[in-house]
Amino acid sequence: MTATQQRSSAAPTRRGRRAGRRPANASRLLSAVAGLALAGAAIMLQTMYLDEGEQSLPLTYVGDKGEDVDAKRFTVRVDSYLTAKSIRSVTDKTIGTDHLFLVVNASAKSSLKPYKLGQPVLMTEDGKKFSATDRVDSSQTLSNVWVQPDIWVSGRYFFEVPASALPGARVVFGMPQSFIVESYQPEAEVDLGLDEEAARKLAASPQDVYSMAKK
Amino acid sequence: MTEPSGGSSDRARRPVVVPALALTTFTAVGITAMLGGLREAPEEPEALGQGAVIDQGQFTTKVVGSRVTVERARTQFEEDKRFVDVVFDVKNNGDETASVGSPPQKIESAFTLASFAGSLVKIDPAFPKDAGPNVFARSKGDETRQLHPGVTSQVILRYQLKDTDQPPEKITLDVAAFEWESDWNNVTPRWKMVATEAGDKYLPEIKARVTLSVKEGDAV
Repeated sequence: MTATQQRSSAAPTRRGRRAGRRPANASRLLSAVAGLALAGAAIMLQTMYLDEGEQSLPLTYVGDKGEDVDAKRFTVRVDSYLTAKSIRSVTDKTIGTDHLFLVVNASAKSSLKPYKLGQPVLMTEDGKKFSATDRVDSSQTLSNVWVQPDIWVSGRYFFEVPASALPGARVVFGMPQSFIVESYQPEAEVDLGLDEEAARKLAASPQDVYSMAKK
Repeated sequence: MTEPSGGSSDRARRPVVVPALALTTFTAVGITAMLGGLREAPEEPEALGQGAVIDQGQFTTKVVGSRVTVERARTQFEEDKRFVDVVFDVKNNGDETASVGSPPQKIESAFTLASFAGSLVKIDPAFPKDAGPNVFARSKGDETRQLHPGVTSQVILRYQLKDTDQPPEKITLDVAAFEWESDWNNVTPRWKMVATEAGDKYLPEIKARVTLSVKEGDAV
């Protein structure tokens, strides 16, 4: 008898506790929501995780033609560009093309250390990447010039591209390739500001011969 | 005694055949699985000739032909040079400028190469080492080692012949292909040569075997 009495006296206290936790149920719901939110945020962050290939991609600083594009380690500016049907080299050899030569006049300076810039890449609107042509010796390009802190130097780069690559084209300047693979190298992406109309005009009016001797 | 023994011998016949058959089938399947399963055996590469078009993934390649070319001496101190050329029309289907490259020294090292000529994994007959090859793309009489995206270029694989060497009558090329794939440690895809593991080596899959007769050519 005593045992059952004890039980019956214990039962109300339990009920009482449960009743007291009613607001605690709400907080449990709240913490569940918070937990879900945290888990969701974690999953969302996970999608932003850079995989190994993406980690080796450079940091891109973007600008337009005529602007100083500061890529932190170096600053680059596209001064002008033109198209040509052939190029006469300093050794008086003329090279022709079935497509177009795009000559980009650029200036650069560095921030702390002297650098030589790498050969740039021409990126088309649909993401095709044209390396600067190897038919013009790289010693004739801006890549052969030391880019020093606070001293602007100018030079040229040469691309051989079909006319269809011109609309929306951007030129990407970066550091030269080195043996040490470094993540987050800077690169400067300069929009040449060529819309369909301007690209058609540029492609339709190439110089017959671009002479490298003239400066 | 006779009745139970006769009954048991009648019963024994039936259960023996079925497990034996099952065991035989099981063993046969096991052996087949061990020997590489019921997959089809690797197909012989396509045997192609002059003018064939090969889809190499990254490149669409037309094998134009093979010929002997002569480069005339420009001064009296020079001698005429003779070459065996194999001519291709190569279109770069990729998004980036690719390099012309050169054929692999050994077929085992081919799978690491990511250039057009890297896919010419075996060239028969083998030329001596000092014969080259020199591989380049021709553009308006000038040479380049770049294959720009979406552009078709004429690529020449050139071996130099010594004074007394006779050019081979026929050249056979084993051509591999590329696929846009990611590495095990890098999910960003790139063009990789299609290769299969064979023992401790990776051997490229031969997409096509092209046999060309070497034509006598004129001076360039």
